[in-house]
Amino acid sequence: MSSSAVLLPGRPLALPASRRTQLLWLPPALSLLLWVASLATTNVENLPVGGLIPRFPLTYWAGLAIVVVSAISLTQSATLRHRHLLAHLGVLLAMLYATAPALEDAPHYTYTYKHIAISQYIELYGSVDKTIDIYHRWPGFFSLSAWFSQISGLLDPTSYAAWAEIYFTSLDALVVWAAVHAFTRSTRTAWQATLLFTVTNWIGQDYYSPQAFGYLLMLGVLLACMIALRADPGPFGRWVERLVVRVFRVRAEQRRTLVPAAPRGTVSRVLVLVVLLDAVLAATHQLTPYVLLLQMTALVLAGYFRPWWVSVAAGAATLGYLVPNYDFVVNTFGILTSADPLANATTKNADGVPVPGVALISHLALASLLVCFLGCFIGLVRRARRGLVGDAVMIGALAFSPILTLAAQNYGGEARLRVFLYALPWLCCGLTWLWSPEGEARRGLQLLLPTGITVGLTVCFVAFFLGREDINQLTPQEVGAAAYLFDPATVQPGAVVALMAPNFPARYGPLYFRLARADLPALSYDDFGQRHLVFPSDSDVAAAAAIIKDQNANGGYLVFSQGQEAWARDYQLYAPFGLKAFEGRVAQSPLFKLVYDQPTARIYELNP
Amino acid sequence: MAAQHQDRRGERRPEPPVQPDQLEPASAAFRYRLGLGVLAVTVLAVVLAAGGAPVALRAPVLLLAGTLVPGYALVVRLPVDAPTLLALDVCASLAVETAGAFVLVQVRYWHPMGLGLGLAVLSGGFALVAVQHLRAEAARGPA
Repeated sequence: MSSSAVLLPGRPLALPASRRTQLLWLPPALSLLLWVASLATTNVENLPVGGLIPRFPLTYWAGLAIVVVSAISLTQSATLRHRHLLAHLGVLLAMLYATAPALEDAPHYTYTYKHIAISQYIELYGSVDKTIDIYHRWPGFFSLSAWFSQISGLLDPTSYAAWAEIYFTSLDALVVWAAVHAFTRSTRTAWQATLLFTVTNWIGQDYYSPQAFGYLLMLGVLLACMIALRADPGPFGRWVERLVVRVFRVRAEQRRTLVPAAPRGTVSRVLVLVVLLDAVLAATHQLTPYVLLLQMTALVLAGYFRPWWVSVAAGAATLGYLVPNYDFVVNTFGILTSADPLANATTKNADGVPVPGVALISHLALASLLVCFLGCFIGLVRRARRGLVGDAVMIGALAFSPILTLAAQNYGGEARLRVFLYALPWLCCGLTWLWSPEGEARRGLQLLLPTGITVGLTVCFVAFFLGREDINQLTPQEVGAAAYLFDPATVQPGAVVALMAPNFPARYGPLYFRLARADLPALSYDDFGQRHLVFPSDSDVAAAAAIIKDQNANGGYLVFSQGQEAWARDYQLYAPFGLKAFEGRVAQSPLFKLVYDQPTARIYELNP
Repeated sequence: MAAQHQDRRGERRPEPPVQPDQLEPASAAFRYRLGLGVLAVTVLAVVLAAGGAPVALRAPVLLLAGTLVPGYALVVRLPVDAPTLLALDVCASLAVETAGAFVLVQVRYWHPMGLGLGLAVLSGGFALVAVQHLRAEAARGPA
């Protein structure tokens, strides 16, 4: 052994601090490499039940585990390293939200295409037609998208819509970080809440949609209020705080997070900003401004936000925009769907009986939702018991007030998911207080709780968000089939498009409004032809033709696609292979002729 | 409420307010550098859009410009930390553009390039004024 290898007394065994800091770049870099490698080996053709989960190689899971665990550990270190945390967050966002667009050749979710259609309409006509549908009455997001398409040269939003999800989620994460920091004055809490927000936002509403944009604006309004309109509570707020003190037996002296008073000029600027963002939000989305109004009103009533008229201004913008559209909304949808909150919360938005794998994914999503609400509630109680009652009341108001929307709306069976979406940033803030009520770092065994919960929520996220990719995914051939149907050169105006199952882009292209759609409900269930569609016959094909003819349309088309087959399989709409067998009969029938033929989509035209 | 707590000697004194690990407001130098970046992106976006540059080059620059430029002058004076400044900038920028595009659609006067150019000129002008003020401020150093 050479003398140089002998450790001299007093020589430090550990790496120097600068070297240790450099090593902190390793986990996100390694995760990024593993993710890129997994993208190269993941096959997205004919995805089975469970979507991408069974197709991901080990490298994906390894990369995800490394970046999540490393990020949690960094949020608990004595000195927070913001650049390293940012790198971790960036890689995590990419692994969760950019995987599908990186792997697939067309934007996922069939409902993305109806939004693309409105933007395409504006690009073509330079205006909207309020008689067509509700989207033309709330065109804020579509106007923005059409404008961006034209100035950027990406004339068809289909070319970039897939990437809207990572764009909006990244911006949401930035605003959530800023809002939680503005509220708690704790960068540690802000990082933890943002990390949790990223791994719990599985609702899938950050895609190319007015909801995604409206959500960002809503968070922006609340952030603006947090930085300049905070105040000590009024009589009602103090009464609520005293109630909390009594109910939860708070013994600690009450304290408040020190928020520097905003100068008068700042308040004026922020008020202008709030009015601008809220006015644009009112013209962008139908539901979000009302939830924001609920949240702001709760905090204004308690005196936590001042001046009081900020809530009135928001209400005026929101209701003022509704007034000219009121009749349309009432006659088409109705303002209130039901006054029963339980019914609104439990309305299903998918027919059929899910196969066990799909049911398990839904259970995991529900578990994630319950962990967030319950964990947040306990976190709020812990924060209050440390004497920070005002903080607990404010975050409680923001996180739990969206539940009130269930008193009026089921929002097409999605109300409970929207409630979770609107509450999410504040739920995540409250959840961090479960293990760290004052933003303090956790050590040793104390790390088990934040690590366990964050990893568990990440698993639930991947299960719901990427585990349903078998039905969310669309192939370019399916998009091509939709384009064929909505092209006036190939299909006459007034024709009817019949679907054997849901999950096909039923509206696409600037002329989407020219065709009617028939869902053929009799085909979607087991009473088709008075019996199960197990061994289809010519009489079944004749029955389908009769249903299409009954629409008195200018031509009829029957569409079969991979997405519909996946949906029918996952929700057991037909007996196994029943749909395939039926298509075989249609192909042989003289009643129909094949006019569009691709491996993942076929269109049959009804012969006159 | 003037909360109180006991120190080691048993004397009562006011409870200190919670002042955890917060970020300081962004410095004038940061705001100045951000302003220079905004101006550079504005000029680049106008050149690429007007010159009909390839989409692969033009689209990312216009996306960046659309995300940051119009809101900068609206938020640059707010005494907030750097991430909050960026977050508000993003929200304000997208809101201003949406308001502009919405008005064009409603009045049936659809001129996207005109709107883009108008926003670039106005936002760039306001950003230039803000940057000049910040330059003087940064030169004076922190108060």
